[in-house]
Amino acid sequence: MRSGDAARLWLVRAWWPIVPVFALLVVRLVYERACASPYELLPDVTSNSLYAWPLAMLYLGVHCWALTAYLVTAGGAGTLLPGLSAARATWGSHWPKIVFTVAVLALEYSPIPFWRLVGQTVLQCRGGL
Amino acid sequence: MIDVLEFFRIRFSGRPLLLSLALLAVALVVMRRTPLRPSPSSVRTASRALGGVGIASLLAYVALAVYYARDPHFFDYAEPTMTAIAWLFQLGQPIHHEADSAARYAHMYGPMAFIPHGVALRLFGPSIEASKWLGAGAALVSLFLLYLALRSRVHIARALALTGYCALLYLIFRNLTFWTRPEPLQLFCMSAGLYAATRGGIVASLVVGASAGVLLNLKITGPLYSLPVVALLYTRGGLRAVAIATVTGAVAAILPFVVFPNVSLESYLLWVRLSAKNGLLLATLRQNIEWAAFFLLPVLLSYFAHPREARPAASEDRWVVGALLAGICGTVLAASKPGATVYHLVPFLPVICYATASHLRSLPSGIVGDRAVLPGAMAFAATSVVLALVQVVSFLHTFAPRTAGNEVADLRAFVASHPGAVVEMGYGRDDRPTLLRPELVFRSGSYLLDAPAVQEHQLSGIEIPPSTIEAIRACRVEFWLIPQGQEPFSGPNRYPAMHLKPLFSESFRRAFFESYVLQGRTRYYDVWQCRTGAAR
Repeated sequence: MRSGDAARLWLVRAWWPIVPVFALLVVRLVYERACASPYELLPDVTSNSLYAWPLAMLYLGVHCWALTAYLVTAGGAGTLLPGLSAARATWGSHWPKIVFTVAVLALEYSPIPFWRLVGQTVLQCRGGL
Repeated sequence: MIDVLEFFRIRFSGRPLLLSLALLAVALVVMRRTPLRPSPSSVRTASRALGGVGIASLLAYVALAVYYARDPHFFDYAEPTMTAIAWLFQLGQPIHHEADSAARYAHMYGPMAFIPHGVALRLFGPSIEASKWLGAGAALVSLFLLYLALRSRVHIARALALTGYCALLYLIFRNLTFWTRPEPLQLFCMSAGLYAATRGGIVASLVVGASAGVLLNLKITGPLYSLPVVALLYTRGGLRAVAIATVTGAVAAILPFVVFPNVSLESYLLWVRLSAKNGLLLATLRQNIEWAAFFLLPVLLSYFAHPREARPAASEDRWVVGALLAGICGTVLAASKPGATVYHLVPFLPVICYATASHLRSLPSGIVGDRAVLPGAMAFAATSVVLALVQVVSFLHTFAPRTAGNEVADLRAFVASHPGAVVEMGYGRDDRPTLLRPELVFRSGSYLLDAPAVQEHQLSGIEIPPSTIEAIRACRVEFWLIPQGQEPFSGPNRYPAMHLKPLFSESFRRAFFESYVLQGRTRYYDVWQCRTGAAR
């Protein structure tokens, strides 16, 4: 088995325990950004080291997962910026996992002012600062 | 112009990866009609331009470090803390006092953050300049050592350019890499360890071990920084070299606690434990991850610069990059603590430059294997230049007016006119006039209150203890100099998590006003004297 194949296999296995949980966290963070303090997220949880560290490790773990997935894709395609078809070919039936992860990360990295606007106009909440 | 740069700095300087990707996208759109692989002449032209940026950055960095070191003023609010505690250490007083001690100056930095400054103050005499030159000197020597380490991988032009890029990335953090805090010493240890590891032999193991021990005694995260250097040592010297380095590192780490009676492991760990309870900030974690990805771009670009069939596959590269990633992951988490941020990743920059140089080692001039590499490198360089420029301009704009002040002479004149009296710096709402407080510590040998420490303690849930209030009531300090026109001890805790809570409690302030009276003023400070002394 080539190293790229082994990494792909591990990534596929690791996806279920981390990315769906991360997706739930992101939804909560998006709500925080829209309706609470955007820079002090989940203060009750993150101010306690007992909960903060596992949460932070999950958050970082998903980013490491995404980086490794990118490297596997780029390595397989042989180029720094692999195209969509090359990525699909690399991941085969697991392609939806990649799409889902990218969508969740895009949600997490979307601009805070956008979510403030959503909070005020759609969710009708008064966000703190 | 300054306003535009300041707007850009505030709005975009925290998003380096986003800026790079945006610039890369623009470059790719512009270059969409160019051939799949750029011609050798265009690669050479681009390489020369990139090299020129690196060398110009190197010169700018040296000039800025020397400019900063020559002036007795500080830029950052915690810099004077290091100098003041270093002098206390030199006088035999503890670096980390006990939790209920009247003095409030202990930080979670390790003892080596203070000991070298204490030695410098003893050698060159107690002055702010001596302490500042130590920081600037360590930073400049670290760049030279990095250059030597890079020379073992690439030719002179590439080594100079990469050293320059390291300096350019340093400049994004204003004066952080040459200021009077642990970072210059961390960079020195990283570069010294890196250079030694490239040389091999028993000396390499000893130097890598010693630098790892000092790194641990600078900040508790030290072992994370040492990982890639130890990995490099392993690939060159095997397990035996690592074992020697580990033993040396353990000895170096224990040594200050054994040799100096005023360096207590128990007290140090107490402050580390207290600080570790503060939790983490997810917003900071996200920012750290983005910066880490930005810093690692050169490693990625240099790997893909090779044609597909000739990409670097040396075991050394894999070990160093793997250990680098592991160290960065750990640091990204630790740097999410309240009050910490991305600057904790800066000590990895020499290793990142080294890993990049290792990838570029076998790349022939004029060849780039991937169409996106050159625009990627340009986007990275442009982002770095823009960020460094806005930060340096902001730094100079803030710092230059401070250099016109003559507070040091004012403080010296006051102390000279009150021989034998204990004079200390108090705090108002504005930190800036208090940054010269080491001048008073040099002369009184006493340091009851360090505002950055009180701030950190409060964040950890520790308020000023009764012993400090008792020291105030007992007039342990005869004169407090408070920045002119400001209400004594009225400032807030500036950590966002503290929501501008008063830094000094009501009971502390009551004790102060009951014990001291405004007696007069100097050119820059109000003089508050102990009521007992004033009545005499």
